[in-house]
Amino acid sequence: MSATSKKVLVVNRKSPYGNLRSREAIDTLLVASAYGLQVSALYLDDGIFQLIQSQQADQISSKNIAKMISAFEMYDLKDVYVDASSMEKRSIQEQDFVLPVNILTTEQIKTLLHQQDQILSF
Amino acid sequence: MGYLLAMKFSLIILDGPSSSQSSHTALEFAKAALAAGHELFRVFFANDGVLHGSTLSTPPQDETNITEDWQRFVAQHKIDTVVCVAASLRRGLLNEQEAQRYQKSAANLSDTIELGGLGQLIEATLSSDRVLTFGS
Repeated sequence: MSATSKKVLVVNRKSPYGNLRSREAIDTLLVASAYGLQVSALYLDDGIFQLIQSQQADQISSKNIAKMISAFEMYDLKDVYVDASSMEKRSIQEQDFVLPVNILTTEQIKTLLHQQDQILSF
Repeated sequence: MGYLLAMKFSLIILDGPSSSQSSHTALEFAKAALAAGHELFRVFFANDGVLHGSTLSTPPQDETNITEDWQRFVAQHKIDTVVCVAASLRRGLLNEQEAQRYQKSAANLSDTIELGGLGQLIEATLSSDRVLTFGS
């Protein structure tokens, strides 16, 4: 079985803190990438807050989610997508993000989802 | 039933036994899938879902014990069932080996379920026709 034969998308819809969902999604992304899968990440709804710079997670005794996400490139994880309408609803700009992302319209997200073999939602 | 194309499913369960209805929905799906002739490649419990592996869950007697229901189901059908080890240790779910390693007073992981890593989740996504995630 060729590991590179499948395209996997990890969908992130939850805000970074309050539960461990975002942490465990990041772990899954990194492991999938280490296994050589064609893995990409999509952030939408409150999930886009995970990408915001200047998080002060130490104030709530947590690890900084954005800092972990900023290491994606080191793990060869370059395909990071963000939903444009989620950004607009929350008045978030591209420069607020901790790493370069591809901003997609709803129509483009539909195409992205169709291209995947498996989708994992967190 | 007609001629049905058998599929290989894997399930990911994210919510804890008492935090939502979703693991019950997942169990009903799993039963229906087997009944329809499909195969369950793996059930992977992650996040709070790992608590389904506990042998200590004790709801009141007039309530469904969904944790026990899951353990009985996977044992009965010999389904490859894994709890994420990192998520489990964080939430106090240990097998004998981990209890000894971390010098804890007890082990509480059901012997019908294996402690495993995210690699097994990735393998399940590679080996299954469909992966369904339960839990919000």
